[in-house]
Amino acid sequence: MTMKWSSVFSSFRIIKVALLLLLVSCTGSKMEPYVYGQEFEAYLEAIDAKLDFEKVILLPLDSCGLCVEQVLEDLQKSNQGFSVIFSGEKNSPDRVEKAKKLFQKENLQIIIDENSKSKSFDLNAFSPIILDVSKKEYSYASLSPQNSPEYILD
Amino acid sequence: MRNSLIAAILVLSGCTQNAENVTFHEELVHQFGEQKTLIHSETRTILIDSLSLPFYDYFQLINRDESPYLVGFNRQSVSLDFIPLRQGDAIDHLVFADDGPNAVDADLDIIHLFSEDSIVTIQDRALRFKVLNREGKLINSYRKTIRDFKGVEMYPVSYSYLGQWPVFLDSVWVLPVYPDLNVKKKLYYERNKFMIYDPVKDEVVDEFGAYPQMYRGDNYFDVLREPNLTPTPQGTFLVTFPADPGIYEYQLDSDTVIYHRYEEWGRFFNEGVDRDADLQQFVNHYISSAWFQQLIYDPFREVYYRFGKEQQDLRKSDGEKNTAFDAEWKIFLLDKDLNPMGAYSLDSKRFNPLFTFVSKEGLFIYDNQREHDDEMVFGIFQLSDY
Repeated sequence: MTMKWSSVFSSFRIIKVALLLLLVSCTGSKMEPYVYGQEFEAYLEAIDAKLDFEKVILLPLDSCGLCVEQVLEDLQKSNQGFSVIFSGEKNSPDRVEKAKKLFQKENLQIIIDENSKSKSFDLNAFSPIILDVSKKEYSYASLSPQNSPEYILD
Repeated sequence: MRNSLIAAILVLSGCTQNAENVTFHEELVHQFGEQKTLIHSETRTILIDSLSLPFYDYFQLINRDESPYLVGFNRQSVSLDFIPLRQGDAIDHLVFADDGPNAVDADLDIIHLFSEDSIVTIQDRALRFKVLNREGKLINSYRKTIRDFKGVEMYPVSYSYLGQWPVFLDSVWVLPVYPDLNVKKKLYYERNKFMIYDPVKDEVVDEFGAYPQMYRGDNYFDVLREPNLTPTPQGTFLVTFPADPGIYEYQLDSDTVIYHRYEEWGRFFNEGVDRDADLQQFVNHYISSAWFQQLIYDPFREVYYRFGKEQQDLRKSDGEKNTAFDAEWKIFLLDKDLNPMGAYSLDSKRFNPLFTFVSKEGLFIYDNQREHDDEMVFGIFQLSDY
């Protein structure tokens, strides 16, 4: 009986450790290698953009509504420096209004892809993504309503 | 006289595991002959009000006092918009409550009007389905337990913009479902796609629509995984997959599935992308490869229309990427026995194959050429000899 309880306890401890590890891995910024670096650079050239910051947010305003809303809200609150590239063809007026408010923020460089040239490049950005271009090998993460604050807020 | 012939009636070509039973495939090979096509006979412009949308992803055709109406689910205002297909009849709206027991979610998966006083709403992960009346008031709600024969919970959904619709019969509902599994894993494709659900007993009484072998291997198809369900006048169900040129015909209470094979459609056999591919790789494949979309039965003319997108280059000559609508789209015509009887090349830059339906007047296809914002425009197509 004692053996049984101790083994239950030890397995509970293992589960707890596993849960802790899981939580750590969930909260840490986990960016994956971005294999479309060259295409991204060609895209910047096509829209004639030079980046001011090492963190870049590709924000197709006509994509996943909840993700876009959250990213726009978090950018409004954040004091971190980001280059933000807006694209999208059919945008809801509400989102465009929220996006326009970001122009006043000095910590953001806003770039507008007026002709939605992003659609002609392989960028793997069908919803908002954040790119880290500080190293030779770029890395990225898809932004969702759940993880957006983690990447954008200070 | 039939131009197309059934060349071979075969054979037990194989068997697949379908829930607990073994399902036998019988194969019918169909050959092509050109006989009919479609003609664009009319452009129908319907004046809409500011509360209506010009395009609906979820809709139903009903008759009101013998006048045909398109009932569109408006996800912006969370309402049902009753839009008359004939001039002179008035537009009507049933606006649902935002919250409380009468509330309807904009993200709704399935809505069906049995009558205007019996409107059923189903949301994939909700525990109950609701019945509302013509005032949008909740009349009743029922527990919903959809589990396949292996006991796995399945969630009802309808990819209506891909032509995938549920079928509501008198006593049972045939619902497209998905399991709570990672869509990229092979296990996802081992479940049947359609559940026959008895809402009174609150149980699944049968299931069908096994994924073909091509979906169960190393290749991945993303949204090109979603099959269409088409009831036939004979009481059977046709299941078509975007990547598979054939048509699977299911008869309920039978272990035999008839596979209708069309050699001429070999070019539509789609290989998908690698299972590890990212979304960009899939989207490029979606743009460039050939696949099928909806199969619609036209009871007025006793023909089927099968929409297919042909292959195209990923990029135009100037380097700009094509979209799926830059490709050539075909509407294949099949007679009531599923023999091919011609095809029509659809101008997909003008007509949107994602918003189509059949009425007494013909095949309606959404027309992008609107002159004003208060218009909803359709092309009406009729059968014609070559």
